[in-house]
Amino acid sequence: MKRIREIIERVVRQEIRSVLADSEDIVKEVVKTSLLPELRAATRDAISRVVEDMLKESPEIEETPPLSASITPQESARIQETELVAPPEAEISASSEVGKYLYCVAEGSERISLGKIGIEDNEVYTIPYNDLCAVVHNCPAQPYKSEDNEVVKSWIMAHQKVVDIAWEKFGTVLPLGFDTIIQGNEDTDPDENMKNWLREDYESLKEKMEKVRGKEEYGVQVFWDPKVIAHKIVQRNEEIQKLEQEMKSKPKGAAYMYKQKLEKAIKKEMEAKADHYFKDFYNQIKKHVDDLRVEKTKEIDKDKQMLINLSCLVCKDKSKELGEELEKINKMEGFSVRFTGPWPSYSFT
Amino acid sequence: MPIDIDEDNLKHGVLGLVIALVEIIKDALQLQAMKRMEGGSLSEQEIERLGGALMDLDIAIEEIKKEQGITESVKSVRDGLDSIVDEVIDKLLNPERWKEEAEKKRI
Repeated sequence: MKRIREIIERVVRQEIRSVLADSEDIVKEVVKTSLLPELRAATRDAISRVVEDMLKESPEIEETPPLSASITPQESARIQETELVAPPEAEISASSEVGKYLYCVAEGSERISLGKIGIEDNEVYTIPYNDLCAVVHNCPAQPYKSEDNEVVKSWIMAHQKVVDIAWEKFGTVLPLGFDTIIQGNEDTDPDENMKNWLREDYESLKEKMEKVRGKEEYGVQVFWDPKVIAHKIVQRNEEIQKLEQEMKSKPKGAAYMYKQKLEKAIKKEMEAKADHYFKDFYNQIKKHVDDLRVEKTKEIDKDKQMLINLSCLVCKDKSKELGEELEKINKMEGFSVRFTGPWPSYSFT
Repeated sequence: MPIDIDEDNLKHGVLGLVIALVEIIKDALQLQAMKRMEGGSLSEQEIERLGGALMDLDIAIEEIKKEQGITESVKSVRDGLDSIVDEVIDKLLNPERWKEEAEKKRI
């Protein structure tokens, strides 16, 4: 124990030293740019104060003040420099409104505005081609990017809100993922490019439109409580019970090994059960949906493991059936279901 | 550019990594011990000794984790490693992935 600690402490100390060595240049840079000017100004103040004091005391050294004045031109040059750096930003944003941020494709042949409901309150409007239209806002040609998760979240929320509003308004929509931007190029403006895209993909877009017409997407997630399930397994499995008995009769060290063995056996049994339930639930749900997609399961917490994660495309009049089927699963001991939606069909377009 | 050297952060990172590695070694030892026990090549005494040693190691690791408050960072190191290993195995075993990879390279 003590030995491990010493080693760890040494490693940590080494790490700190190496981080400091790596960032030596940055430290120097910071000192140079932000501290030095202030230091100079402070020194100058101090010098002039001393000089003034000396002047009051002994008027004969009147020639010294120029010393302090001679530094000022440099200083003012530097101020001018820093002021020059700022302005260009405005120019960039003004000249680069050359993209169309695409929310979804909807049915409609008119160019209409949906108001300032877009990402960062941009005006959202439609670009029609034939009987389809793209729901867009004008944006720079670069994708939306931010280090700040909150900002990205608010963008995605806005994206979803626009798709929802379009869905309500137009009935059937094909939503696109966040950050889909159509750029213009030299001879076609983005507006024209958007129409070209709708024209080229018209057939497949129409096909997709037919597929999701009158349907909505639901998220279905089934969870189980591993503790409850493990407990049930122990109760029902004779072999595992035998192992448990054996464990209790052993001395400490061997009991530890048996405990590992027991845990392994339970884990194996649980995996088999998970497979079994997955197939069961999948088939049960499949009967009530038009199409479904298996999504990756995510880890939630210790008492709630996600067993199955599905995106389901459901006819509007069939969602109640699906809900009833899920209620059956929800009532099983140790299981719970999360049923979310309806959404526009994000996962099927 | 500001540099953020948080002493706690660094401790969590390095210590978390070290303990995660110790844990993985312990798991490997345990697996071996289990195989030998199930294979019947160990006597009762040997099982007892081995089990006792592994248990002590287990307890020591848990204590360090609790004392240093690094349970979470150890877990995140291990989860990260798990997902890397998953990915590698998936790539090795799944012919579909080979195709994806080949297509990506062509682009």
